[in-house]
Amino acid sequence: MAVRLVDSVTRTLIRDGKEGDANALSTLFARYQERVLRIVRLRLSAPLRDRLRLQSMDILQETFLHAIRKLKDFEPTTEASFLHWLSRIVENVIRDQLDYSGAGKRDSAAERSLDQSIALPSGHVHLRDLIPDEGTSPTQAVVRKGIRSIVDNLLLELEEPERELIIQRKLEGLTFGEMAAQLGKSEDAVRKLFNRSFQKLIALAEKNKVSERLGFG
Amino acid sequence: MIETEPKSKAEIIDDFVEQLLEGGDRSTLEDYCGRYPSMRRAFEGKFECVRALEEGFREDGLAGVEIDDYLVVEEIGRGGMGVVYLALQRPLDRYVALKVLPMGLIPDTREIARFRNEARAASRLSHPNIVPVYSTGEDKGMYYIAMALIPGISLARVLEGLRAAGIEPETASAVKDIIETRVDLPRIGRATGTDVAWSTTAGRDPSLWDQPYLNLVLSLSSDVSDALAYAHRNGVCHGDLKPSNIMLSSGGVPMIVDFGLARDVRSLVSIRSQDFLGTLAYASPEHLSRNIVNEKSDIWSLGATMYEMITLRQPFRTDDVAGTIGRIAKMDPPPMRERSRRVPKDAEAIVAKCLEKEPARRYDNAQDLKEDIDRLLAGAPVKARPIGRAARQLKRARRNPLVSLLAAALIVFALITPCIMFNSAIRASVSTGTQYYDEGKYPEALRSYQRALNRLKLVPFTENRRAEVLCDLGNAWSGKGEYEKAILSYESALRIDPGMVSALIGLGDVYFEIGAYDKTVSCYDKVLLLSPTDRNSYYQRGKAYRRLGMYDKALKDFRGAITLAAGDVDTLGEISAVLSEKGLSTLRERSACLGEAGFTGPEIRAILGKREGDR
Repeated sequence: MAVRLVDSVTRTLIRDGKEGDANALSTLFARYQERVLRIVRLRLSAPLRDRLRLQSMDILQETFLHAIRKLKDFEPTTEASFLHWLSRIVENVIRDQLDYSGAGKRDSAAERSLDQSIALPSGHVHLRDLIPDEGTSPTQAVVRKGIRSIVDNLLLELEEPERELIIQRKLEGLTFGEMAAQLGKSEDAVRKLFNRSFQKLIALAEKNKVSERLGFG
Repeated sequence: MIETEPKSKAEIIDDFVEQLLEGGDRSTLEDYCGRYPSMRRAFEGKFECVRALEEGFREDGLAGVEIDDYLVVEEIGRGGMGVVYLALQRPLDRYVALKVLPMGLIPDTREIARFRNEARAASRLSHPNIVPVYSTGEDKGMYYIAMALIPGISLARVLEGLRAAGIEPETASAVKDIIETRVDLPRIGRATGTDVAWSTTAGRDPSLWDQPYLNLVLSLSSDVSDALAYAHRNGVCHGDLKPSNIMLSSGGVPMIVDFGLARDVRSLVSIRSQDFLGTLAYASPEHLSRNIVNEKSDIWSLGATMYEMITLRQPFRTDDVAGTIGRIAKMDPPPMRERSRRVPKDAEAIVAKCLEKEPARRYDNAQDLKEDIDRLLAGAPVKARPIGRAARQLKRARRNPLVSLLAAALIVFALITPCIMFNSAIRASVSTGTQYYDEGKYPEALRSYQRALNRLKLVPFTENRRAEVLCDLGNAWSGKGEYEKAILSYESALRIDPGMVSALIGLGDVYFEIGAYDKTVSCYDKVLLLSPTDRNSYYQRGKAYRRLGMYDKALKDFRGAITLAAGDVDTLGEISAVLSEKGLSTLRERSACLGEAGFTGPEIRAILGKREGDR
């Protein structure tokens, strides 16, 4: 039931982005790219994981490309709904990617998308200018090495449905009510499932001595 | 709420973790440890684990945001004066510690001007024991100070570690062990990669670590007083010196941060009273009573810090603001030698001279203090004179009784200050909203509250305030009859402050309106835990129980309400309704039922008499 009230800044950015403000778009993506990238990395299946460095950024960019196109039809009610929306796009993009690689098509989504320009009312904008690439984004490089990547590695050890629950709750910021609606279950059931998944994550963390490694305790 | 059957250890731990996931904190840990003392270790392990994992999910408010030249990477610390982020200074490609101060902490333009001056003065200081300030500025509604990133941890965390070890440290190596195992250095190191060019700090002679612990304390204190002396000579005093403002580099070099940031007592007050207490414990009597900050008060604060380093206890701290202020104003700290015989008399004398209530009786300046410490280190006689029992008594008699009055004034001040810090524009929106609300103009009220919330989002450290406005917003939605939205607002407020009574009441009442009586009950369960003498809450919960057909519980609550407000007409009406719904028509049946529910004879007569009277 509980929904995070829409972050006014995000809403303004989305509104301005819809009106073709490239600055607003890049700020909007900068704001969420880490969380989306994290979701991407957690969603990538094992066969793709060895190519993670390139692939995750490809998918992030592809996701934002789709997002820019679809933004005009999207009306966010909450910040979580925006993140969830992006997260669904990530899912579709990964599926497409898998189809490509399965079909032996090698043209990189990133190359395609980055060379494209987007027609905005204010003129054409290169996607490249909207999205910082990996090489120039110290934020991602830094965060990857930090505590988050340790937690992410644990998440990757969970079963997919458990991981999804944690992604939805912790990264997308959905409420149990919203998750319940997504999954067609009762709120209470979702809460229990989530707690169980998180307990598993804790067990993994204990096994890996995470709190000692991170200097907690 | 009441445990019906004994649980297995695993179940208890599961319950505990569930509580943590629902937003439990250290008090949850203490609660469980208190209830199951033998399982403390298991609880602590889970607690630290959850904390580490939550850290991995936490959103860095400003991560990825550019503030002037700096790209914020992640949060590395948080304190009363602001949030410290790891940031990349792009043009120079170097990592810095970026301290971001919310505008809300600096209430008026005079303060802003002062902050600018102080920050500028501090940035001119250049001393090996002062963390260099690279630049200061304002961007996106925040003030920031970019400082050197010190690979080390604060003295406060060192002391925490020593306390946790539970034994008096023998040699300085105990401190080294803590620096090496505690979090900041490896975490920032991991975060920035190994090739980061650290702001280099000179290490000490490694043989220092083999010396007695007290030598390290004195050596650190000597360095800190040297830095203070230098700053004072340059016209800057610190104003908020305490262990958490002294970084200890991995090489064992103390470095002071936050010079000149807290000259006004008001700016010491943060919304979290625990932070305030943490900072208060080192404040001098004249700072608290007359808001005077100068080199003498810095000497006091260093004295309090030395006392804590030596004894591992804060000299004046009690569990509450009033008690702490009282001790600072009126009492000498317990003699250090009572805590440890190993403390030399001269060390006791030096600390006592720093902690003289009367500034004139302290060291004249930080340089004199440094020289006295150095004398002690060199085994020479110190200038500070040991205090005998008679001198102590004399001091007590001399003590100014007025101070306590001033201290009392300060307590009031501490309570109202968060309101002052609350940005005036936001305050205006809230009061306009409340005015509209009182007039029943809900859409207008909603707009005002929304505006306030939007502004509050931009100001860190206003979470509690935000919770209050969210609650107001909930009331307005509720007034407008938009119960779903009201619920969302109340729940958002409760996520910030799960113990917020007004939001719980609002939420309970909305659930009542939409017929979700079980939820009303659970809201009021919490309210009554927090506020067990609230008549209205018994009444409301009783009403909900009645709708659920749980008549016994309803009657119990109505009895609670009657106990707190005898003869309340609404409650009497509800009781009658329950009796009727239970199908009790005769006076005897009714009386027996009420007796079972615990009503006293006179109460029963009053209730039934009233009912008869109604007829």
